[in-house]
Amino acid sequence: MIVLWGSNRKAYSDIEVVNGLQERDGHVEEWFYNAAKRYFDKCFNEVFFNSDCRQEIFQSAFIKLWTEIENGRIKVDGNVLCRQQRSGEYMPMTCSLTTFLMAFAKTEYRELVRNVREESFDEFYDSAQHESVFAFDAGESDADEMKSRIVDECIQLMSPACIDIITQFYYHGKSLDEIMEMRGGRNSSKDGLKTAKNKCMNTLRERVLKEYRMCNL
Amino acid sequence: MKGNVTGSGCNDVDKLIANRLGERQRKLERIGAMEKATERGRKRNLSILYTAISIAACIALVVIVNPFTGNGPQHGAFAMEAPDFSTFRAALPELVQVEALIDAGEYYKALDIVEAKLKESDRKVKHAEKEPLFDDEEWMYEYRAEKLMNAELRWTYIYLLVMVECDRTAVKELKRYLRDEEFCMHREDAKDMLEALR
Repeated sequence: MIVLWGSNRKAYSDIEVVNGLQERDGHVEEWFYNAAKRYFDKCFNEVFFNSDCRQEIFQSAFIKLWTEIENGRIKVDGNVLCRQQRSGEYMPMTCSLTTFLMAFAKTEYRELVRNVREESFDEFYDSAQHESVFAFDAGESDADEMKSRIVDECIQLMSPACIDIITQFYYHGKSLDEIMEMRGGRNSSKDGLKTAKNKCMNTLRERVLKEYRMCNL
Repeated sequence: MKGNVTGSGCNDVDKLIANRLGERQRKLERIGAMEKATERGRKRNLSILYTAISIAACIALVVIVNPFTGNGPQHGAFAMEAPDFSTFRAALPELVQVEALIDAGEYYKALDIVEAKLKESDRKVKHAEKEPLFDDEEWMYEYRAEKLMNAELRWTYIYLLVMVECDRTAVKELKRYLRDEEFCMHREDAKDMLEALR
């Protein structure tokens, strides 16, 4: 019964979580997701006017953290958790993974509030974050791995609507009509959706190429 | 990788973007699956909780509320033995029929016969007690025999009342049965039964 209620399930340390996520261990993924969700629900005290926003912020923050771990931007080095800085150097992390998750969530929340307050929410591209994600010569690193990480970082800087549209079009191969239907009237016209899709993809591509250049890729 | 990535000068970048969008999508789908698993777990735990509560409530109901469990006699045929008329069969031939009806589960029919015989016996006892002849040995023998028959008929009557769930009348008859201690052949059982029916 105790097992069923979850009180004596195995708890993982941050180092075990990082190793587990990098090895794509399903048990660790599930445990960390639930632990992070519990921590977020308990500690994220910002005001929300609907629960969808809260869940969206948690998911975005969690995926950012998960991606950083899987890509090796956060890694275990000599039994110490380290995170890669913009300069390319790895520095020991001074906080736990959940604290890090909360920092991501706060950034997401500030962005949400800023956009709502200014009533200028750019549905297609998050213009608030222009700083480059990496700024070091990746010559000695594995170039393909570095490129993947750059693309991931650039995707994460985009607005959710933008990611949704280009994922449906470029990954799922949906037509514009199908995307229109799926988005349930959030785009006023097919032409508008097409423009949005092109704008999102062009901006993302430009940003990725710019980051490549900065890392000499 | 799948989707609408076609050839262009930025083909490699577009392919990688589509690939990484797919990876992000995989994570989202995994999150969806974990949410569902958590929800299922929550429902399962709630279901287990409700089942445990239901079982506990049933046990409590059976043990505390139902008086026919534990040390006391149980309601119906489970704890109370059917009366044995072997001693009185010769004196009262209808008892053979009553026995057969009880065996066949025809309790109402048996009840009618026993009720009639009990009334008749009650009248005889009442009549005998009006003009008692305690010095008359023959009278005493017949009186005691009738009293014993009366008590056994009452016990059978009580048995049948319990079987047809006429508990209030059964309680009344049990009290009457216990009043005459000398002829109570099932005294302890009757006390338990009275306690249980209360």
